Amino acid sequence: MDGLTVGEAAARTGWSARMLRYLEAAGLVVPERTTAGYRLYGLRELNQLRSLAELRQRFDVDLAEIAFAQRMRREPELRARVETWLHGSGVDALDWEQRKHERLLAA
Amino acid sequence: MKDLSLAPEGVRRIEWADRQMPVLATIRERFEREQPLAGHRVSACLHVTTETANLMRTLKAGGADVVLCASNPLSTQDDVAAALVDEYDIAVFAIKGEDNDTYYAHIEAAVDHKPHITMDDGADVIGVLHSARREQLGDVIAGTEETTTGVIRLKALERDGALGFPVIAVNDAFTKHLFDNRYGTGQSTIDGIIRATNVLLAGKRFVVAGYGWVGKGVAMRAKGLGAHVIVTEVDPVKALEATMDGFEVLPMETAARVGDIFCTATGDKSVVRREHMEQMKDGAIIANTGHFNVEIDIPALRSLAAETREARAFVDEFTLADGRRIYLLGEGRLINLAAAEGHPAIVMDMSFANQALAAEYAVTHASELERKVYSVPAEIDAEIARLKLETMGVEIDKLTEEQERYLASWDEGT
Repeated sequence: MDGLTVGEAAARTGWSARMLRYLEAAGLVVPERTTAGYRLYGLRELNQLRSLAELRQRFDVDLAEIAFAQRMRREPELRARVETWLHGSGVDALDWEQRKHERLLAA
Repeated sequence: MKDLSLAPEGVRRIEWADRQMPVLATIRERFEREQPLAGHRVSACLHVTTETANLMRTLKAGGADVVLCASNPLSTQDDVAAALVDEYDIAVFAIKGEDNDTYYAHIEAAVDHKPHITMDDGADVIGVLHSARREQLGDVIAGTEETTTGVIRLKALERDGALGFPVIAVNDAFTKHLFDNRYGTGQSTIDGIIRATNVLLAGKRFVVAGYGWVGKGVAMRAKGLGAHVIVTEVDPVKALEATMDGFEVLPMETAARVGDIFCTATGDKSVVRREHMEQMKDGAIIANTGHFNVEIDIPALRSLAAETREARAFVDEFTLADGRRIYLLGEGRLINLAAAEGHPAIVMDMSFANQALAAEYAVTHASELERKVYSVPAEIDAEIARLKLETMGVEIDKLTEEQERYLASWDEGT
């Protein structure tokens, strides 16, 4: 397969051509380009488009969330910060420390 | 350890911290050459942070076979744990947010390493060795303990004749107090108060409760920012020192009426209590920089308040029945950690340099050490100060032979 133009890919997958350009700009589905600069959607991109549509439908995931998941993979510092936040802030560590020392003093 | 893919980020941050830990780096270079810890197994139970990682690298460079577990399951930095395993080949048992069972299983795993040297931040490894693993007590040459509460517990064991091996209390080192308590906490406490409130300190009456190492640091920095600093004390010697350092010394009862900002740094409980809060001016700010949130009687403040709300992040506003407002920062928790970033790595450089040299001292003096709690030997303090000065490019004088003889003759009692 040589790859489809943006219009053909849209027709094949059910995404609009405008959405395909948005997905490219968001870095989610990025097609190759011909030497003349036309977008070329290959098998990989078509599969990505199908599974992305399924993710949205089945799990009610919006595109911003997918983009964020991708940032979490690419930016370790962001991931560490988000996980720290999810696990509780440093204040929880302080409280834990205090209880530990109170137990020590009581022993 | 959680996820090896975090390792590159951990390495990056460990290296950044290392650039601010020149004393430990100097010790690491020497350890690499001299291998003072060769053939010794070390089990460390410390906060799994970038600074600790550099201590672990130093011990390993000295020839030690090191494992690390966490001394607090919520302070573990997973990227650091990954980096230690992946890049520095040091076994780590720690996952941020691990449950209590996993946390204790990880301490057990560190004890399974059959340590000759232990390192604790709250007597965890020592605790396991003295209970479930008494049969291993004989293998241990010595331990180090980083915290005051840990040392209190170990001294109680020593009094009962139950301490199984010598322990060096690294918290007692002069070079640790100087940097950690006076300069580190002194600066970061002011930082925390300013970040939480954005107040201008110049011209304010700033009350520091306690003139110990931390209180001195806070008082010095607040004065430098233009505050009128008032010190409260219970110890006559420290109160005299504060007075001669140029601070006004008042009982809390009097200080309560005039202070704009209050900061407790005593290590004791209920230092700012109901009768003081009843006297405070409208808009008074109270913060704590002691280890635990017991220094301010928060239940009393709650019961005094007719209304409570969050004025901004880390600032709770308590409106009393007569309309006066009192602001409590960071819920009375250690303000430099609650509202700022704790210590810069350069402060931990001194603490961990003490840990590394204490481990070396334990190995080289193994035969002389008894089952007691020791302070860091003066020679280690002097060595760390010397190394620190060297990294700062500061040179000092040496006694001439004549001066040495003169001093010696005084010592002999002329």
